[in-house]
Amino acid sequence: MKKKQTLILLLICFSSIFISLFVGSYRASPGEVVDLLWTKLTFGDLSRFSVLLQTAILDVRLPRIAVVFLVGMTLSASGVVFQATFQNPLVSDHVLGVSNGAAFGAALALLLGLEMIVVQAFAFIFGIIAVLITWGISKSYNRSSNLTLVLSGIITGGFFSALVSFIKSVADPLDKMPAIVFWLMGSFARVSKSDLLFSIIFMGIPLFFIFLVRWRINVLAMGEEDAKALGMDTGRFRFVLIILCTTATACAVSLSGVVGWVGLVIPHVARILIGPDHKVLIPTSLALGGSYLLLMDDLAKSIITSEISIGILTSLIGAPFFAYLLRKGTGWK
Amino acid sequence: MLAVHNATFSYGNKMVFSDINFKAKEGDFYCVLGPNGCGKTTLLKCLAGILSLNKGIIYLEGVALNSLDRNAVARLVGYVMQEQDTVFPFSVRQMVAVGRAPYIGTFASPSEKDMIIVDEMIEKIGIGELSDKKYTELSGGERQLVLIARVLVQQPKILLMDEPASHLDFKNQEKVMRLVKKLTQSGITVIMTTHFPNHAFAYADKVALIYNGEILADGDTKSVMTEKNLSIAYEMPITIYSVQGENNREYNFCVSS
Repeated sequence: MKKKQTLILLLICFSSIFISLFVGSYRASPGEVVDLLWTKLTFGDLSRFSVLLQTAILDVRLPRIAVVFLVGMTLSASGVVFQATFQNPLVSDHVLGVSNGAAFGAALALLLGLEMIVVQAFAFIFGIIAVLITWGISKSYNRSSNLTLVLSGIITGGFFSALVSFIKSVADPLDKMPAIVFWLMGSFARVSKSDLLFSIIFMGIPLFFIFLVRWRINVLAMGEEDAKALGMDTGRFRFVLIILCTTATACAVSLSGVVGWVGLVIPHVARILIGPDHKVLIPTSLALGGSYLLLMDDLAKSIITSEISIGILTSLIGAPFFAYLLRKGTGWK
Repeated sequence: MLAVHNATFSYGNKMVFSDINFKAKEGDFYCVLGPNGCGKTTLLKCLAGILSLNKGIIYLEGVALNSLDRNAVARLVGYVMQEQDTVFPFSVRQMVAVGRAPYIGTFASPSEKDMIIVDEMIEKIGIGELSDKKYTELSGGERQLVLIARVLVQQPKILLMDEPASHLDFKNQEKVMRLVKKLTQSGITVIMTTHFPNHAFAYADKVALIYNGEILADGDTKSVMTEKNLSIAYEMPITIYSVQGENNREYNFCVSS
């Protein structure tokens, strides 16, 4: 990657993070925020700042920025990886049924009136269970291929989405149903400082490994047989990639609900901007995905007085933007 | 260099080929001929380690193929498939660089040294001006040259080519065939399937004629490429003509009569 490109990407990341520091329901002047952060960074005395300001910035805004950025990176990187793995521009992070599984897990926990942390755990676990079922179905066919895996994902996804509808239909329409619907639309409002460690382990670490093996994805993108002839153990590599992406996506969905279109739009934008070489495409997608979702979250926080669901925003903005992009070329053959 | 013993392959109950035996030595230009569906491509895929034989053994330099890991096989054997149809518009340079994969660690990407090998090969094959073009936008002939450059940076001792000339015009066919011939002269063993018996006449040292999943005849080009053998293999009467060209060189070609 050229120096100039790296610099631009870093600039995009830092400015989106910087902007996000000042967006939120607690009204703090930019000067105050910068002063507080500087004091914190230099281990200065924090006592001259109000407790409210400290909580708003250090305990709410900063962790939320970190989690949103990680989720954005996860969704876009998984999109890139799945598109390369399946050689299909239409697949994204949801292709193997992880979102539908996670949605079911969350809806079930909400129906049973369980704690928010259990809702997250259910979403995470069912997201992974869904992908395992997808994998199992595709293995049960005589000739398992990329196509059978994608088809199995559609089957699993359809099944879990029907279960979600069932739960909605039996949930208490005054109390639980709105909670389920709101959860499914996607939001970062419920993210807190305690989610940070969970995010770093289940999104940060998989993303780090995806980053490390990024050039190899070029080999896999040559297609199954060609990649084998080039010395790759395609079955194992694909399996590892799917595990990494599934873990990270399940974690993302369990924290934010279903945030659509990021895994489809960002990889295409990145591919148009920088080309298909995954050595540079992965870092570009990570930077753009994180920044994009962060700015969307800022919008979600500030457009109306009560917070609008980010899933609605990414779809409302993502879909037309995607349509516009396709006019400029697809980044595909 | 390469020895195949009693190679048998079937998809489920459907036998593709059985009891295939042959040997190729260093620098051999070996053509595999036979009608559509006779198992040529499947045989090449087995030799490349992409598919596994049901029975029999393939030896690469005296070592059984199935005892080697994939990377080790890929350093010995290069495979140019009939149609590389990647959906991503990789540049020619990126495409050729992928050929270095067997020498690059899981967490690494091509080093400067790898890229020097890549650039040198691109120049050597004569596609320097295409280096930054998109592979997916090239013509069939250009693509074939890119794939040959890619397989050569893999530095294999055995080169498997699946009908490299099938989508090319007359000029590009000759260009590719001459290039392959030159490779054999530098010591690379080439096993090539083809639909054109005349390519075997013009370039091959040895020919294996496959019919119904079995070897009908193999050995020196002249002894295999007889009117009788070809007529059986292609299930139609075939006549071979021989003409004297410049420098008293003999040209053989066959037509269906």
